[in-house]
Amino acid sequence: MVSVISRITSFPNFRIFLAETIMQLVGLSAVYAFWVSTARALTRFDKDQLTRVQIMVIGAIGGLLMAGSQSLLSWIFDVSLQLSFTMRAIGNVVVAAFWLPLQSVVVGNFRRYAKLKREVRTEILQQESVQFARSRALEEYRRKIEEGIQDSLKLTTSQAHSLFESLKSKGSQRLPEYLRVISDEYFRLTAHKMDSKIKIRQPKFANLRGNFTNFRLAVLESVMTRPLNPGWFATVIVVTIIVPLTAKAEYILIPEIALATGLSTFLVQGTLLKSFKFIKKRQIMATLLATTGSIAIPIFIARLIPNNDPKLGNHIAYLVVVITVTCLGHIAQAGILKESELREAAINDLTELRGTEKEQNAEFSKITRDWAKYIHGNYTTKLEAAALAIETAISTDYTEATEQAIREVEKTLKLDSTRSLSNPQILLDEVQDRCTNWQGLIQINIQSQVRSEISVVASIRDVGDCVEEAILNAVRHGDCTLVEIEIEEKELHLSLVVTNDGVGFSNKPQGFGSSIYEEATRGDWKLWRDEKSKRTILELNFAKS
Amino acid sequence: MPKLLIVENDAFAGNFMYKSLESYGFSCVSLADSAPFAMRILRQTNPDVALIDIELGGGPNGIDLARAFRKVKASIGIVFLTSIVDPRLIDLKGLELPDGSIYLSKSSVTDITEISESLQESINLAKTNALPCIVKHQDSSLNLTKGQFELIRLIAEGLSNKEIARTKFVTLKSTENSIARLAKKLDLKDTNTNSQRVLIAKRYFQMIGKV
Repeated sequence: MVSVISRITSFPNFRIFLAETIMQLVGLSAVYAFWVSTARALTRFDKDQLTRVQIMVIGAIGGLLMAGSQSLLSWIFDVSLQLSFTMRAIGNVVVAAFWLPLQSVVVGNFRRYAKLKREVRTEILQQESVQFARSRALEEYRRKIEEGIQDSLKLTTSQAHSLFESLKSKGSQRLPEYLRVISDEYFRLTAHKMDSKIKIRQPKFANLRGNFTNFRLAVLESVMTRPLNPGWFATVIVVTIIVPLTAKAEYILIPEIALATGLSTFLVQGTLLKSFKFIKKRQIMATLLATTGSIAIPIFIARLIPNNDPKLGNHIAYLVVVITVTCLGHIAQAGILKESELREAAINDLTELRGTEKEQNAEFSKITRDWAKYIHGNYTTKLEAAALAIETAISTDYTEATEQAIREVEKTLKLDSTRSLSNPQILLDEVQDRCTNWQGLIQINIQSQVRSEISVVASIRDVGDCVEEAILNAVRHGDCTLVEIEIEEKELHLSLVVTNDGVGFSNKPQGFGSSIYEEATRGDWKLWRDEKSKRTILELNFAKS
Repeated sequence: MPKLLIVENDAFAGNFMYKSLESYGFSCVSLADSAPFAMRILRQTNPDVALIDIELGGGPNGIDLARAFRKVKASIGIVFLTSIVDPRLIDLKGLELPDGSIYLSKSSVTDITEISESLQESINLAKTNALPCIVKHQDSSLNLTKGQFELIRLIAEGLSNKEIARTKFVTLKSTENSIARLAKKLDLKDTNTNSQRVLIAKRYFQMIGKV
C-alpha cells in the first residue's frame, strides 16, 4: 500500500493532477451552485421564452464565475499549465457564454414544469372529484334510501322507488349542493393521497405516450430531482480524475455528463421495465447522439491537438467545434418549452397518478356516510330534514322515527310543488343551481340581499325559469361575457335584476322568453338598455303575497 | 395527431367514440360531459377539433358551447354529432350554427370513418370559417318550412293552440290552420283513436331520436 501511494505521489505530473482535480471540483461546485440558483430564479419566468439579453447575461455571469474560480486556483497553486492562463480563461468564458444559458433554459423548463404539475394536479383533482361525485352521489343516495326504506318499512320495490323519485324531483335544487359537499370532501381526501404519490419523482414510462416533450421532461426529472444520487456523483468524481490525467480534455462540460448520467439511468430503467414501446426510437437516438456527441467530440478533438501547441488557429478551431456541437446538442435535447407544451405534458403525466377504483370506492363510501350529517347542519327545509331523518332512523334501526319521517315526507310531497318560496336560502340556491351549467362559458356574479323569510306569489320554479331564460337570452342574443344577478326585497315585491354586458337588442324581444317573464311576474317586468354603462338590464318583480 | 375534445353527456357513447377515434389517429384530450367542464378542458389543452353533442342536459346546449369555444379559439374545428336529424328542429332562437362547422345526425352515420373524416374536414374548414355549417345527409324528405319546424317543436313541448298563438304573436285561428297544414304535410290523419297533436308530437320525437 505504501509503495502504491509513493508511486502515485512520484507521478511526474502529480502536482498538476492534484491542482487540476481540485480546480475542477471547485469550479464544478461553483457552476452547480450558480446553476441551481439561476434555476430557482427562472421559476419566476412565466413567459414562453427568455429574451436574448437575459440569456446572454446569464451566460456571461456563469462563464466569468467558472473561469474566475479556476483561474484563481491556478494562481494559488502556481501551476504551470499546458495552456496559457489567458487562453484558458478566454476559452472557458466563451464556451460558458454559450452553453450555460442553454443549460439554464433546461433547468428553467424543469422548474416551470414542476410548478405547473402542482397547478394541474389541483385542477384535475377538482374536475375528477366533481365528475366522480356527480356520477356516484345520486347512485349512493338512491341505494341507501331505497334499501333502508324497503328493509325498515316493508315497502315494495316500486313504492320505495316511487318515493325516491318524488324526493329527487322535489328536492332537486338541493342535489347540486349535496354533490358539491361530496365532491369537496372527495377532493380533500384525494388531494392528500395524490400528494403522497406525486412525491415519487421517478418518471413514468407509461405517461410518455410517444410525446417528445414528455420524453425530454422525463429525462430532466431523472437528473434534476436526484442531483446527488450516487451514480451522478460518482460520474463527476471519476471524470474529474480522468480529465487531469488526460490533461487535454479540460473542456469537458459537466452538465453534459449530468444529462448523460440521467439519460443512461433512464434508459437502463426502460430496458429493465421493457417499456420502450412508449418511446420513439428516434427520440432516444437524437438524445443519445446529442449528449454523447457533445462530450466525446471535444475529447476527441482535444486529443488531436498536440501539447503546448502555440498555434492560435488550432485553439480557435477547437473552440468553434466545441461550441457548435454543444449548441446543437442542447437544442436537440432541451429547447425552450412553451407553457402550453409543459401544461400538456403535466396533464399527461398526472392523469396516470390515481388511486385504484377500489381505493376510490372506499373513500367515497366513507364520505357518503357523513354527508347527511354535514348537510343537515346547513339546511333546514322540510323535505331535506325529513329525508335526512329517514336516513338517520334507518341507520339506527329506529322504525318509529322512520315511519314518522316518512309521514313528514308524504305531507311535504302533497304540498304544491309550485308553492310560494319563503326561505331566502332556497331562493339563492335555486338561482345558483340554474347558473351552474353556464359557468365557464360566461362569468356569473350573484348577489342576494334577502335575509329574512319572504312570501311571494311566484314559485321557486318560476323564479328559476326566469333566471335561466334571462341567461340564455343574454348569451345567445346578447353575446355577453358577464351576467350579474341581484336579488333584493322591496316594499311590495321581490326584485330580481339581471344585467349583462351584451350587445343589447333593437326592441322588446318577442318569443317564448318574454312570455315566461310575463307569467311569472304577472306583467311586472321590464327590459332596457343603459347606453351609459353599456349594459342590458332585465328587472323582474315578483309581488309579495 | 390532431387533438380532439369530445363533449357528450352519454357516458357510454362518449367512451365508445373516445376509444374508437383514438385508433383513427386522433389524440383525445378528454371526454367532457358538461359545458363548464368542457370549457375548462378547452383552455387547458387547446384542442384542434371538438366533437359535440347538441343536447347536454340543462343549461347551454352544444351550439352555445361551440360558440363559446370559438371565442376562445377561433380556429377550432367543430363537428356536431346528434340524434336530431335536422338542425331546423332545434330551437335556435334565431342563432345560426357556427360557420365552418359540420352537422352529423347519428342516425345517418353508419361508420366511425365518417366521423373521423368529418373531424379532419372541420379542421380545414375552421381555418377560414368562410363557409356556413355543412349539414351532412340532410333529409330532403323533411319538406317543412322554418315556421313549421318551430310549430312542430312547440306542439311537442306541450303548448296548447292558444299558447302557441300567443308565443308566435298570431291569432288562434291562424295557429289552428297552420297545424292542419302541418299535419297534412306530415301525412298524419286525426282519427278517433289517434289525436293529431299526439301524432305530431310523436313524429317530432322520432325526428330527434327520442323514439
